[in-house]
Amino acid sequence: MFKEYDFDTALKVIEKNTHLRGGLVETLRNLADTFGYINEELYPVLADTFSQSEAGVLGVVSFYHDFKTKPRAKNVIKVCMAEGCYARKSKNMIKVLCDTLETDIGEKREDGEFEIEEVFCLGNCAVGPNIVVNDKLYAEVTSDNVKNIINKNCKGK
Amino acid sequence: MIKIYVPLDTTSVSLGADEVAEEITLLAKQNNQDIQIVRNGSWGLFWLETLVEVEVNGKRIAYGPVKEKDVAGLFDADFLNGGEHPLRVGDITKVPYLAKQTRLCFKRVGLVDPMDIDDYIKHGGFTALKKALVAAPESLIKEMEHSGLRGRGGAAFPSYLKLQATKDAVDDEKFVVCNFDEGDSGTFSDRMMGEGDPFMILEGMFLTALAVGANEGYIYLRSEYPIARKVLNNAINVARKTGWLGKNIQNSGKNFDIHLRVGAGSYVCGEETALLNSLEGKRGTVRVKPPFPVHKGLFGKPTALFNVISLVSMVPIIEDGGKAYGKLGYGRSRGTCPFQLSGNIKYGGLVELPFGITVRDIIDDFGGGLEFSFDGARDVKLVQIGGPLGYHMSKNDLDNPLDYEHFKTLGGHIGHGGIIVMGHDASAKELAHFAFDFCALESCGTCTPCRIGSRRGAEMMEQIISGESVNENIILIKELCDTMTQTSLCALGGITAVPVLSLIKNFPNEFEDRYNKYVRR
Ligand SMILES: Cc1cc2nc3c(=O)[nH]c(=O)nc-3n(C[C@H](O)[C@H](O)[C@H](O)COP(=O)(O)O)c2cc1C
Ligand code: SF4
Ligand code: FES
Repeated sequence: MFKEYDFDTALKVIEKNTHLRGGLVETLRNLADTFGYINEELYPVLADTFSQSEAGVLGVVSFYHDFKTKPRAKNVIKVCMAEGCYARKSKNMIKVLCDTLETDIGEKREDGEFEIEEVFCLGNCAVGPNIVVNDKLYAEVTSDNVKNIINKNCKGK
Repeated sequence: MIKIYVPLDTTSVSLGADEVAEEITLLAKQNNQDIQIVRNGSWGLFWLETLVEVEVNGKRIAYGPVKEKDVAGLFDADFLNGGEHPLRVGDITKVPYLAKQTRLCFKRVGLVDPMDIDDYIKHGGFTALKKALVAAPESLIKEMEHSGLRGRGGAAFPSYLKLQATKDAVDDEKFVVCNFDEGDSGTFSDRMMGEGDPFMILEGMFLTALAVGANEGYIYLRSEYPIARKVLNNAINVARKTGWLGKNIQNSGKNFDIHLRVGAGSYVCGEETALLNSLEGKRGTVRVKPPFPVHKGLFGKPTALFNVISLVSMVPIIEDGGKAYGKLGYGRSRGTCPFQLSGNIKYGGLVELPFGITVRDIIDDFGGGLEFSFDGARDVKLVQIGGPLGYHMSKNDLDNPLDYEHFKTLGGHIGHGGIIVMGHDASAKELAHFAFDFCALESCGTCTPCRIGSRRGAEMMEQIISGESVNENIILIKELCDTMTQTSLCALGGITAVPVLSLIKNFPNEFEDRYNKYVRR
C-alpha cells in the first residue's frame, strides 16, 4: 500500500511540487500518499522549499488528521464513526472490529500489524456501516462479516 | 459489439461493482461475445447496486442488484439480449424512484460515460458554456438573480450577489473555487456528481469564471473520495487536450484553467475561509470576515467560491434561463436540491426534487416509508437533517417542508441536503455527545468557546450518559450552547448547539434523571 520511506524518494516528491503556489499542503498530501506518513527529517527541507520556519511546517502537519508522523501499521483499517453508519448499527461492528484486531480506535497494535483509524463519513452512507481495509472500501459491514473481511484482505494475524 | 454499463461510483464499487465488471468480461470472453464495458456513474438507487445495464437495440435494460455470483446466471438468461431474470429491472428511468424526480443537476449522472467528453457533449454538455462565451457577464449574473439560486453548501446565500461582488472587485487576478469538501455525514451528492458527470462541474466553474472575470479555478476535493479524484483528474486532462480548458478556449479568445487539490481529512476546511487557507498551503484555520473572499480570497485575490451543486445548478440556469429554473421550488427556496437519503431506511439514495416536499413525504414516497428500515425492523425514531451540525427531528416534526426558511424557524437548517433516518437503537444522549465530540475534534482552535467549550460539553454529556448530576449538567449544557452560539467565529462552534438542543428538546425523556435511574436499575 505504502512505499518504504527513503529520503531520496521523498526529495523527488517534494521537487515535483516546488513550482506550486501555496504548495505545502499538496506536497504533504503527496508524501502521505507515498509513505503513509511525514518523516520529521523532511521538516527542514520543506521549510526551505516553502519559505517558512520548521515550526510553521510542523504546525501545518499537526493540523490535518491525514498527516501522520509515525510509520503506519502493515494494515490500516479506517472505520466510519459518523451518524449515517451509526444509524445502521455500526457500534456493534466497531466493537467486534477492535476485539478482533486487539487494538483500539486511533491506535496501532504493538506488533505493527494493524491500525484502526477513525474517519467521519466516506460518502457511502446509504449502504453503511463502512470500513476501508488497505484502501478498499467495504459497505454493509456487520459484526458477523467484519472478521471475514479482515481475514480476506490482511496478511497479518 | 454490445455495450454494458457497470457503475464506477463509490457505492457501487463498495458493493462489488469491480468484481461484477471483471466477471462479465471473463464470461463474455468464454462465450465469444463481443462486449464493451462502460463504467458510468450511479443513478442513485443504491439498493439496486450493482446495477448492470445492457444496451439492446438502442435501449438500456437494467439488472440489479447484481453480485459477482449472479453473473453466470445472467449469461444463462441471455441478458445480453435483455432476457428475463429475477434481477431484471427493465428501463431504469421508468422506475418510480427515478421517474418522480426532477433531475436538473443529475440529468446525466448514470446516463453518460464520465470519462468521455464526447459523450458529455452528445448529451447536451457545454450548451450553457457556448451561450456564455458570447454573452455579457452582466447578463449571466442577471440570469442567476432571476433563478433565485442560493448556495447549496449550507449557508444558502444568494449566489448572484457573490458573483456580482466578485465581478465588481477590481484586481489583476481573480479565482473561482469549487468547494468539494463534502464533509457532512449523510451527504454524497457532490461525490456522485464528481464521479458521474465531472464535466458539468468544470462547465459550472467556467460559467462562474466568465461572470466574474477569472482565469483560474481550483477544486478542493476531500481526501476520502479517491474515485472522484481519479475521474476529475481525467476530466481536467481531457478538457485541456480537447480545448475546453486552457488558452483561447474553442477560439473564443477566453482563457480558463482548473487545478485539482486534495484536502487532508479536516472537516472545518469545508468552511470557505479555512478552505482558502488550506489551498494556500497553511493550517486550515477560519479567517475573520470581513474582508470577504469575494474581495480578498485565495492568495488575497477576489474569489468566487461555490459548492459543487451550486456550480452545476448554474448550468441549467444558463441553458434554459433563470426564470424557468426559478419557477420550481417553494417560498424563497428556488429550484431543485439533490436530497440524500440514508441511514436506517429501506431505499437509500439520491433524490433530486424541487424544494418544498415534506420530510415525511420524501421518506414515504422514496425511502420506503417510516415503518421500513434496511434490516426489516419497524422502528423509525428520529431524522437528522443537514449533517453533524443538523437538526434532529422527532416523528412529530416530519411534516415540515424542505425549505430554507422553514428549517430556520425550526432552529435548524437544510445544510447540504443530507437526510439520515435513525431507528430506536439510536440514543439521543449518544448523539448529543457525538456532536460535542466532533466539534472538539474538528475545531480549528481560533475561538475559545468552540475549542474549549466543545470539550466541556462532551465531558458533561459523558456524565449525563453515566447518570451523574444529570439535571445540573443539562442546565450547564444549555448555557454552554448559548455561549458557543453567540461567540463563535464560524458555524462549527456556532451551530453545534443545533443537534444538541434539538435532541434535548425532542427527546426530553432520555435526558431526565428519572429515566437514567430507571435504566440503571
Ligand atoms: C464547519 C463548516 C464546514 C463546511 N463544510 C462545507 C462543505 O463541506 N462543503 C461546502 O460546500 N460548504 C461547506 N461549508 C459552507 C462554506 O463555508 C460556504 O458557505 C459554501 O461553500 C459556499 O458555497 P455556496 O454558496 O455554493 O453554498 C461549511 C461551513 C462550515 C462552517
Ligand atoms: S467556531 Fe470553532 S471552528 Fe469556527 S473559527 Fe471558531 S474555533 Fe474555529
Ligand atoms: S456516515 Fe458513514 S459513510 Fe457517511
